[in-house]
Order: sequence, then C-alpha cells, then structure tokens
Amino acid sequence: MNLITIIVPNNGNPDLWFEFINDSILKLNLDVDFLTVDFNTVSILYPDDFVVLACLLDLYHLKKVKINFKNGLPYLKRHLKNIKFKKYWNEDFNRDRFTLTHTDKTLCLWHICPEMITSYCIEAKKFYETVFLKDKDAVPLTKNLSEIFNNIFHHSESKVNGYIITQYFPKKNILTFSVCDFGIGIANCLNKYYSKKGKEILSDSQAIRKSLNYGESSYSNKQNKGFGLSDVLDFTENFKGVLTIYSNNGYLEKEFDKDFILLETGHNFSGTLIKVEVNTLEFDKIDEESLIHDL
Amino acid sequence: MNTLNNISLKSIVLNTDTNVEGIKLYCIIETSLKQGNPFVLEIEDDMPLTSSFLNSSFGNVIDVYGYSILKSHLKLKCNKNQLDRVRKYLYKYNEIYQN
Repeated sequence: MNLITIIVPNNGNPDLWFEFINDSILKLNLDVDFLTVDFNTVSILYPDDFVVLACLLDLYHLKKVKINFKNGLPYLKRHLKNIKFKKYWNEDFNRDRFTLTHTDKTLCLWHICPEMITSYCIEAKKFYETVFLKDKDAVPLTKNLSEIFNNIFHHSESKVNGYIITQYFPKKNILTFSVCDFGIGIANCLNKYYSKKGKEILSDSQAIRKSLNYGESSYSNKQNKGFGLSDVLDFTENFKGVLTIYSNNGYLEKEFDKDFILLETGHNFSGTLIKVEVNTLEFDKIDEESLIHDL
Repeated sequence: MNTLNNISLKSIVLNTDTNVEGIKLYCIIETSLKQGNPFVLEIEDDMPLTSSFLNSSFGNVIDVYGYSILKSHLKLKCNKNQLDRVRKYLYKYNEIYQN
C-alpha cells in the first residue's frame, strides 16, 4: 500500500499554489493507493484555492486513490465542515448534485456537470435571491455562470469537468465566484486555432485578453461565436467588479474603471482559473412589467 | 387588424442555456417564417439567455434570413431587462457577423 502526502500552501500566494498543483500532478505518476491532504497551519482557503484543490483531488479520485485529510487550524476546519468538503470524494457522495451547505455565505462547491447546469443555476438563483439579492434581478448572475460552464464544455477538453464555488461578503456587498478546470487552457486553445489558421501566435496573457473581445473564438464547435467570455467581462464591468483569469502562463486582471493587467507568470498551469467579483448593490431591481416590443 | 399569435418561450424549450435548446427556437421561427405568420415571443423574467442559446436561435436566423427579416417577423413580450439583453446581443451579432 503506497501512501503519499501533499501539503497545502498556508497562504494564498498564487506562485506557491501553482507550484503545489504542478508538483502534486507529477505525483500522480507514482503508484499511489492513499493520498493524505495535509492542511498543516492553513486557517483560510479562498474560493480560488478550493476549486483548484478540488480539480486536483478529482484527478487522484479518477485513479481510484483513497483520499483523506489532516490538520488545518480551527477556522478552516469549521469552514470545511460547513461546506462538507471532506465528504466530496467519499464513494457515496454525489459531487454532481447541488449540495446544501451549513453557511448562508457560501454556495456549495459544485462539480460542473453538463446535465445539471440548468438545475444548478435554478438552485443558485434561489440561494442568491433568498440570501442577498432579495428583490433584485439575479438573471445576469446565472446567465454568466452558464456562460463559463458552457465555455468549459465547448473548449477546455478537461479530464475533470471543473468546479465552482461562490462566496458572499455581506459587509462589503461583494459576491465572488471561482471556476477552475484542468483542460487545455484558454491561451493554448486560442493559439492552437491561430496556428491552424496561419495567424500570429500570441503570448498567453495576450491570448486571454483577445478571448474577451466579442467575436473572438477558437470555434471549437460551429455554433460558437465568441460572445461568452466577452459577456462575462461586461458583467464585471457593469457591476463594478473584477475579472481575474489564470490560464497556462498567462494572467489577466480587469478591475472596473482601471486598465487591464496582463502578466506572463511561468506557472505552466494546464487549465483555466476564472475569478469573478461583483458588487451586489449594482444589481437592478426586478422589472415585473412585461410589454410587447419590436426587436 | 389581425392579432399576432403569442408563443411562450417556456413552452418551446427546456432551458435557455444550451445550443440544443436554441435550435428548437430556431425551428419555430423558421417554420413561422415559411408560413408567413409573424408572432410575439414571450420571454419570462427569470430566463438566462446565454450566448450559446442565442447563437443557435436568433443568430442562426440572422445568418440564414438576415437581421431585417427577423426584426420584421418577431416581436418580444418581456420586461425591459430581458429586452435590453436581447437587443444588445442582436446589435453585437449584426455588427460582427453581418458586416
């Protein structure tokens, strides 16, 4: 019986996290039966950390490795319990289903499953409206969740479908969600298409930037028109938020009313991590008046 | 004056997230175009109209029949937020793919 331990970084430094992910993926080549995830002195995990870690654990789970957890400071242990994180890779746990949490500030970690997107979005809408959007129109939120999910299934070629988690910060009126997949990556996907078409290859951060322009797509299926990620950017701009994307060696950050930040990271991240942050005060009230309009 | 038929989007599709469901709406619009029966499409307040859904429905109609035919054939019954979303999509689509 071979047992390995991976030690979760005890701060949110992206360089450490991607190094941890890459090292842990390399260990998949070992003949492993049991994996211990050591939270050592970690007190907080951010939405980004959860979705990246969940994708990593899915890779081990796919190889039939038994997963267990140890350590972590009390605050983290409480949060892991509230969102049932340690149960996700149990044989009898269905990660594709919407999972109720024991906190009203976190919407469940969800393994993105194409057949369940609509029902997840319905549950998510209920949650958002009950907890903090109240009489406001949650449609832009659920629409943009679907845009990102569709993007994964149309382009990513990911072995694991990916994960999402949503967190609400009531004092700041900030809603944030992070989505991760371990697929080909936005930059590689777009550059692969450019290469096929004889177009100039872009740096990874430039390719991510380009993917946010309306009409820019790798046309992985003929119905793709390059609107999905552009709409997500519009969403964070209209709701005075921030869009952050890590993919391959590229990093993009766009905060409302500020310039794009583009960096080459050297992370060699095989996948895409998207973080969306919006201000919930910017949501419109539900308009119940339905009239007939010309297009 | 003839009254236009009303068709509820919810009666046509299971969701408004996917290409597959968008094609269902496209088929309804195409049939009514061929029959020369303009109609009013009712879009409920809570339907998230994703770009995949809109590409396969309105986008396809624009590709095959043109934007002006779509505009003259279809009206929407919906709230202002939904109308703004559809109009924005159509404007962008027309700007990028029809010019």
